[in-house]
Amino acid sequence: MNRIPATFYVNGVRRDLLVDANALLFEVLSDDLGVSGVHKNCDRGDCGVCTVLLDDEPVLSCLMLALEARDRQITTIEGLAKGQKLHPLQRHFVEEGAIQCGYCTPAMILTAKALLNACPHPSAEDVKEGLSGTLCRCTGYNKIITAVLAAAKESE
Amino acid sequence: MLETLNVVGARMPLPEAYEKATGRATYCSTMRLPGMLVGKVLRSPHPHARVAKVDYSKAESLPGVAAVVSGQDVKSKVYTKNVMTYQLPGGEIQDMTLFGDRVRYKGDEVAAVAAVDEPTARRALSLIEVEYEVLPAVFTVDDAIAEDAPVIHDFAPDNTPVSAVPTFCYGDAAKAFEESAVVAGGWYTTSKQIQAGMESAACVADYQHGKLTVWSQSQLPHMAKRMLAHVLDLPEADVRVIQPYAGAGFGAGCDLNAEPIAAVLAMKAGAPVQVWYSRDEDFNNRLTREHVAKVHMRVGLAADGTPKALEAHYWGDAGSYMCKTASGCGVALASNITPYEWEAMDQKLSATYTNHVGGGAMRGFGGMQSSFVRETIVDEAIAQLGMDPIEWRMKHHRNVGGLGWFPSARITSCALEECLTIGAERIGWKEKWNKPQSGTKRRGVGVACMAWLSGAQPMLLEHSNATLKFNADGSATLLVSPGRVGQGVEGALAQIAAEVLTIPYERINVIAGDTDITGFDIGTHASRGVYCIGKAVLAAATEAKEQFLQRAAEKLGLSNDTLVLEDGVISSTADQNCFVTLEEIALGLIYGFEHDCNQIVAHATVEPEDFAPPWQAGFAEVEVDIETGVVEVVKWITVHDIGRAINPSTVEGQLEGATCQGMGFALFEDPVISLSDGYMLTDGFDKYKIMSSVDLPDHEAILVEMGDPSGPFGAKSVGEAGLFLQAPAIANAIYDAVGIRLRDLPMTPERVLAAIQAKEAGV
Ligand code: FES
Ligand code: FES
Repeated sequence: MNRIPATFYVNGVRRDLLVDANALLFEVLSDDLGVSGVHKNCDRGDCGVCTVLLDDEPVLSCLMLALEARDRQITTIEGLAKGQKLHPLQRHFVEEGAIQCGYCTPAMILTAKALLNACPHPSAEDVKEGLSGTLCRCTGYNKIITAVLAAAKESE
Repeated sequence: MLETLNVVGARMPLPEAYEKATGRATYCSTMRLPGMLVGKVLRSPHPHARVAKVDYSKAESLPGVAAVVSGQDVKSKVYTKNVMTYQLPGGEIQDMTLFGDRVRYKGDEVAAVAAVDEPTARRALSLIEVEYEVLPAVFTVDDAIAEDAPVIHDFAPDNTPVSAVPTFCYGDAAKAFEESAVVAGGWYTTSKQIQAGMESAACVADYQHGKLTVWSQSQLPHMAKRMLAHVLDLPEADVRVIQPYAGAGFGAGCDLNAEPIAAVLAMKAGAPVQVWYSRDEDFNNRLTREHVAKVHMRVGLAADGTPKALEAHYWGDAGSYMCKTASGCGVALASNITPYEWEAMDQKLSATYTNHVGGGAMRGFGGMQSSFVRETIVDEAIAQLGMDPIEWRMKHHRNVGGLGWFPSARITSCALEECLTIGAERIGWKEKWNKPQSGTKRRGVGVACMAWLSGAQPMLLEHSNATLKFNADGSATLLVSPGRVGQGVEGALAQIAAEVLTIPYERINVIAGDTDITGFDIGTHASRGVYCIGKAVLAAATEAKEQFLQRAAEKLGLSNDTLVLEDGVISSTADQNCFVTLEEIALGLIYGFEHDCNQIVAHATVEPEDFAPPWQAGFAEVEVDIETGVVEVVKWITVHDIGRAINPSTVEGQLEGATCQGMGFALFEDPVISLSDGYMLTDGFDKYKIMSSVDLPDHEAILVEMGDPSGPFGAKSVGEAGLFLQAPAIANAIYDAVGIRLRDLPMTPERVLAAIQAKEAGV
């Protein structure tokens, strides 16, 4: 198959690759670029655990062709902490006990980040609404909601 | 009130949470080893057939294919994916053969390939030629027990290898029913719920120099290792199971998935192989919840409410392989024993084969089917006597010293009355219960109770090993072997060790997840982690403390019993200025120059004997729309008798997450099996709904901490306990709202509406 040259900006770092025209963003991130924090479950837009940010907007990496993300900024969970310093959302997820198996966590935190960008002072209902595209089988969501609200409060 | 402790009882962040929050945590599905191949399984398109011939020569010669395997590549060994079989002296039914000559459900394993990438692997699967002799198939228990039903396993000609076996009976039930003023009961059905963790089944295998390493989501790694050695005909010493983090367990990790297949592929290919199920493959082939297809139960109460008799027959639909269906029914019967003081009990269980995916285990194993049926029937009988369901439960529950699950088990502690009192107050029971409702939306409240277990004792093999190894700076490594499914037990175990040793939580580094490193443990199931492994950690830490005291006594020239350990310092009770720190002792034992180096390593094996049930009361307030049958949960409260919460945040998290799964079981998680080929039609999250954040009702978990005399620092279990009561309490609340009794799960709007209409029609 024809491999196409493409440039991606992953967590601020320029990456030049040859990608298959039909390769999905998930495949390029996890197989070609070794990004371990992007997870996948359903392959068809039902679960949200494959979420990454594209120019700060959440997208489902299992449904998006890699070439659609060409020349754009992709943020994965690896891009949030500065060295050993966790992003406030990460820190509150850890401290509130909002992480159990952690498989949904990268998607939850990235989605929450986009939510707080758009809506810096959300209510609990806003958070529920904003995170509704990502499933979590473990936590019952309460502690996730608390963590997001705490992170929002911190940036006030 | 329990005494306040330093580390135990604190809301500590989990050690693994940092890796998980930063995307650095490794899961089987995120592993990318150098040279790793993609493994794919060829599955039977027929629900029942004889495999006459498999020819994979074309697949083998496809470029990019490294290995193809089928029956001819493996020794034909009878085994079971249910590795808990090792916990019973005689084992459980073993009825599987890897790539055998018979397939028993649509999806059964026929062959497998390993290739450089997924498209190549899929193409290779399509090139494998298989000749099947198709056999008739059955998909329900009723069809499977019919006279002319096809035989699914030759050793069970009536398809029911476990048939009406009396279990946990005592007293004269017939007489007790005769003496009852009210008798309630009937037939009930429950669903084959799916564990549905966010990571589908995944594993990686590698075979080098005669040694097999398998990275597995198993919750029971040591027993998984033993079964892998058996089915692959390898010495156990040559099999190593490593557990990366698993994207949830909920029982799905109690059974093997594709580990044997990945191993056979890796051995033939000479390269690591990853098998990662797609979502629909996972729904259709991963063993589901133990499936108690139907239950018949009756209870009798005396005119004053005294519990007279409980009689039950639990009938499991095993699907194609027995795995945990019979044991799930057994656990259901056992867990019917503890809550109330029945004068007599008469229970039996059956399990029947059918041609769909087998039943494994899911969180709340057997207890789901026990609590839903028992708690709704009891509610019905109480209502017939015109009594308050909370007062009845307050009065008639068993108590300390009463019968546990098994004849030899006695209850060690019980805070059910506190749970009921707190929950009733919180939900507003007095104001809301039994109030006439009108209009199209009607509200009601309901309650249910249960008593679960803390570990697999005394029925099953139950023991844990814990080892503490001290570094020169006085910190320690703690070796334990639980499942790594997100339950947070590793943090709680570190808290127990830190508490005993009076050192900070961060100074205990937990190492788990490798059978070559950790001591034997039966792993994570039976809500055993904090209680059972915790007891082993407590014993190991106590032993380490003794070693420190001994050494301090030698250094200070005093006797052990005149010394105390506080805040990491051992000092003389007589003279405060006479002290030595743990750090100094640890350093001297490793980098000492007096020819007496002796690193402190403490090890303990603990086989718990006590039966320490966590008790719980669950409260639901619902609103039922009588025009649509839609049930909205307005409020949910779990009040849990935890004994002592080692980490309250983790305990709440377990209960809150379980609440969502319990609501799914109660209201909308509905696996639909095709009656034409046994395939699971609900094979994705678009068809099989699980709770999302917008579906979330107002819910909370409240902990009652009164201590248990046998638990580590008074702790009892939590893992499974949080999802037993949603179904019965919601069903009882629906009765309070609209006066109908529902006997089938899930309570979908269709079922609710049909029952409302039947009631109105006076049927
Ligand atoms: S993997 Fe489920 S939405 Fe992408
Ligand atoms: S923490 Fe397990 S899926 Fe969310």
